[in-house]
Amino acid sequence: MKGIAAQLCGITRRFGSTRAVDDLDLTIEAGTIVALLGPNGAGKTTTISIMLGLARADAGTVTVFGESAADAVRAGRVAAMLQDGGFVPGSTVRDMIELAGALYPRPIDTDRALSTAGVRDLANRRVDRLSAGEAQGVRVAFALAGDPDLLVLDEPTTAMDVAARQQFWTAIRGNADDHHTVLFSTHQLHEADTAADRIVVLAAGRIVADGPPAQIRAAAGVDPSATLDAAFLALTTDVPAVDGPSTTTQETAK
Amino acid sequence: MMRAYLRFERRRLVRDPRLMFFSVIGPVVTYLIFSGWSADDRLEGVAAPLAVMIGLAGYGAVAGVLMVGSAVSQERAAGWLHQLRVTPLPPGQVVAVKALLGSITAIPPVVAVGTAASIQRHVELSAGRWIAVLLLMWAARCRSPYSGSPSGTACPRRSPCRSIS
Repeated sequence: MKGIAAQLCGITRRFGSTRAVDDLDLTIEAGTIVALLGPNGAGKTTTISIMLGLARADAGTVTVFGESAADAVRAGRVAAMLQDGGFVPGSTVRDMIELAGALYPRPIDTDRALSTAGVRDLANRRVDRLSAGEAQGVRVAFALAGDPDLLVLDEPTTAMDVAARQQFWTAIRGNADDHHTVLFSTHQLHEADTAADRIVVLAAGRIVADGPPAQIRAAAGVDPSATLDAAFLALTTDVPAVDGPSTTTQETAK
Repeated sequence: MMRAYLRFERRRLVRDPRLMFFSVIGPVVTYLIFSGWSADDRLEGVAAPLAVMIGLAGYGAVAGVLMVGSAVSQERAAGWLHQLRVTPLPPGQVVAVKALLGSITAIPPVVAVGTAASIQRHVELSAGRWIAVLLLMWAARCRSPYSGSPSGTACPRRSPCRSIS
């Protein structure tokens, strides 16, 4: 047992009458790669935002390495690649990654971060002159530069081409081998299948399956040789969205 | 940490040609063209070349501050401030750096227009008065980044104050 990287207990978050996250319990062990899957609107991004201290839960508690999410971020133990995180014009890729390194207490070398993310050739390019896939690679380097204990990636391979995607997963696996923890959300299920130690499937803000890929297939009742897509569809279709405050009253703050 | 962010922002600002154009070159060229037209007039009891100098230096200083202010709203829209929030850099330091840069951008236009005025129109002031002009311009202009940037940076991303930041 290597310890706990992040723990969410009874997390609930409502937007109007919709429960984006509904009484969610999730423990992420240190040193593992965990994939967070779910259809659009399942609560993946909300869960990630709460885990990073960007959003507040209406009920429940979050701890990251034993402290609050905001404190863990402030201590430089967490880095994230956000779906809506962007860069600003006027800076070069190198400036960006040097800044990321300087903000964290134990950064890796800028060139190493650039090479690991496969964007070393872009070091002197301005960030406003990158293609979408290249910018995604720079975001990876930005997240890796601080050498965080927990790396949170929200749909990281969007817009990456096949080569960039392979490079990315090689980098992430290498990162996890150094006892780092990685949590990522994705719609590319084959990536979760090959990269993750554990898959958590969300639907309508709740966990509908949790375990290694083989266990996910078993939970869905599909053939072990079937694609994860089949298991995913079996698990996430016909999960009713929980609307309104009338359905449950369990969300007592812990 | 804050020093690294300041260095990063300073490099960005220097690379931005719009800042130089709107806050330094624009006011200086305007001064060179228009100060001669009313050279013998007095405006509010002050010789026109001097009055126009003060006006255009103030304009340049405001332009510089506004450039930094509008950059904050761009950064919000691009998701950069959101990205910074998941780094150890405290939001207060982001605001402090923006305010500092905003107030510093008020200085070059005042110096540039003042230099143009003294060369072209032989505007002469005592050293104390030049310093007073510079300090007053700086003090007057740096009010806005200190009051504007914090609200622009600290507000939640989709709050109503986004439109006025």
